Amino acid sequence: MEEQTTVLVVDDEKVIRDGCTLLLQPEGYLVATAASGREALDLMGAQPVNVVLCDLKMPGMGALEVLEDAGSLFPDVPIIIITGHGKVADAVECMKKGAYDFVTKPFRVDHLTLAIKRALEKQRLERETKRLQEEAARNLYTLAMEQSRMHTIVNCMADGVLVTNRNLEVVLCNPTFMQLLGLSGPLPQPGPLPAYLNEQSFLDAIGELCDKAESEPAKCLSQEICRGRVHLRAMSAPFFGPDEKMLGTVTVFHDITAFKELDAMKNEFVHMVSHELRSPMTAIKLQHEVILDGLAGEVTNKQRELLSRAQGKIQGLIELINESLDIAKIEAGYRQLELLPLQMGEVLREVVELLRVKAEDQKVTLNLSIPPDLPPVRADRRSMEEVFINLVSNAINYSPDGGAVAISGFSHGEYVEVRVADTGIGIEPEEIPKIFDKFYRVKHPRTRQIIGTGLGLALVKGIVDAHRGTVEVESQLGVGSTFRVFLPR
Amino acid sequence: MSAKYVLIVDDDPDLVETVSMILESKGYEVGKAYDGIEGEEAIKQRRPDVLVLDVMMPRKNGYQLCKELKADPATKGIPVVLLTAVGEAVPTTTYSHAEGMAVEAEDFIPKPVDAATLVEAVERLL
Repeated sequence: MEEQTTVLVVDDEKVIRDGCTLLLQPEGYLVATAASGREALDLMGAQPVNVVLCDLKMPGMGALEVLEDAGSLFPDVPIIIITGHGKVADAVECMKKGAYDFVTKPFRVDHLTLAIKRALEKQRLERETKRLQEEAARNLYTLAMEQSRMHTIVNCMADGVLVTNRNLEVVLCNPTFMQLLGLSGPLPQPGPLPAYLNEQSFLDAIGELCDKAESEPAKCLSQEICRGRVHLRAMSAPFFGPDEKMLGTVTVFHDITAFKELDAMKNEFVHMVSHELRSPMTAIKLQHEVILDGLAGEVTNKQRELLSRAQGKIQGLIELINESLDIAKIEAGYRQLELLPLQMGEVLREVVELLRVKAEDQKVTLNLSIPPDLPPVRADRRSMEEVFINLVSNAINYSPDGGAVAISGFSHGEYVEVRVADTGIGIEPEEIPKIFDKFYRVKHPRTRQIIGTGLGLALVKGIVDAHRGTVEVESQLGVGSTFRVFLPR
Repeated sequence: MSAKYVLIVDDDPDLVETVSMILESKGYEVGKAYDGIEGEEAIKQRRPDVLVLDVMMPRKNGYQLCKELKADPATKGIPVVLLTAVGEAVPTTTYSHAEGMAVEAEDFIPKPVDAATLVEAVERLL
């Protein structure tokens, strides 16, 4: 409901006050009256007044004085001067002092209401203008603050930031970006992207983001960029205006050089150590063989037994060396995977054949069941052999005498699953997340005799990951473990 | 018929010693050399029926010696078994697998090797 408008009538003559009240009330106005300028100002201070009708000549405080005081105290309340005939010059003087209008006595009701309406309209417009001005000032302030804050955040970031518009021109980049790319400014802004980062794969990726941003759900592209000795991980994403139109792209560059160097050092180290260990190991192994073959004289049974055990230990060390080399190879990306259509049935039959003697020695049965129509997977044959030799020989090692290892294959649409299930000792639930870690070995009194490197499962995971597959394990203590390898077709 | 002569070149004296014991036990005559240069001289003195050659050696490595032998018509016919501890797929600057393949050795055995494999490789080349 609209608030009622209050009109204050100020006149020393009661007749005028009452007259105005009688005229205005039927028009829907609330009417307040004051007999003097002083009284009027007090009243305005005490209650809301929208418009004032003020007699020009009053004893004591006249309209001019009221205008002066009200103008500074209530600047947005319009004052209309009531003036007697022939005093127009004075009224004009009042207008100069800030009165909004004047009506001459004797006045007609329509003149009076018209003047009031216009005054109120002016008041309304003034108030609206003021409100808009304040709002604009507030928005500008917020915007400036937001801008300054963003600017500071972007410039303080330890990661490089690069923003392009949709024409692939750079519109913003931060000092870290310039530093990471070894650029010395100033470069033109907006400037062509290749002037900042001339890397084809990056240009292609950003171009693709721009092309597809509006047709496909927004995505974040991640890629590694190598500039000299600096390795960067670049995360790029498009950004949109309020109308869903793509406006440009933002890329954040994270410096991963230290990680890369550390990784390369680690691989180099593993490689060197492996090599330096492998050579003497060859000599030791052959020396043992020579003695065991009796080439260095008679060997007693006790000596033969001790040497055979030493041979077993040496074999274990050699496997450790080979596996750590393999891991280093896979992690360094040196190992080339030849992804060809591969029948897992064939691979698994070979693996089972290879491990049959070992299984018989440990009184474990191997059961292979592969459906004849199992579709081929895209995989590297040697790597797959390695994966399943590891999984099956683990299953044999951790099975008790008389245990059984079941190797089976299943087809799930885009994936082929190979399952290696044993009836072994099982794995403690808290050990499960760690078993694929390098050098992790389950500690268990019953596994103490099992020779292993702790690298087998890490290698399995490395290879399966490199094939974009997954490996999962389920285990129940005392019942057995099942390893599931999922490989894409 | 006199015994076949096998020359073993490796910078690890223990390995040379052991391999020669193994080969001698099979009735071969064995010559020993401890790096590429010594191997080269030993070949000049007596042409081996098979050369067992280590890859990583000081002074002159196995790849280099093998390449030179295969480039010389006089020694081209000597069958070579390369012994290597270099991981097959890890590229290192000096001893890459690709280079190993390029030197045209008749056989390529990764270390650690066992006696049976070594004897078998030598027998195959005679």
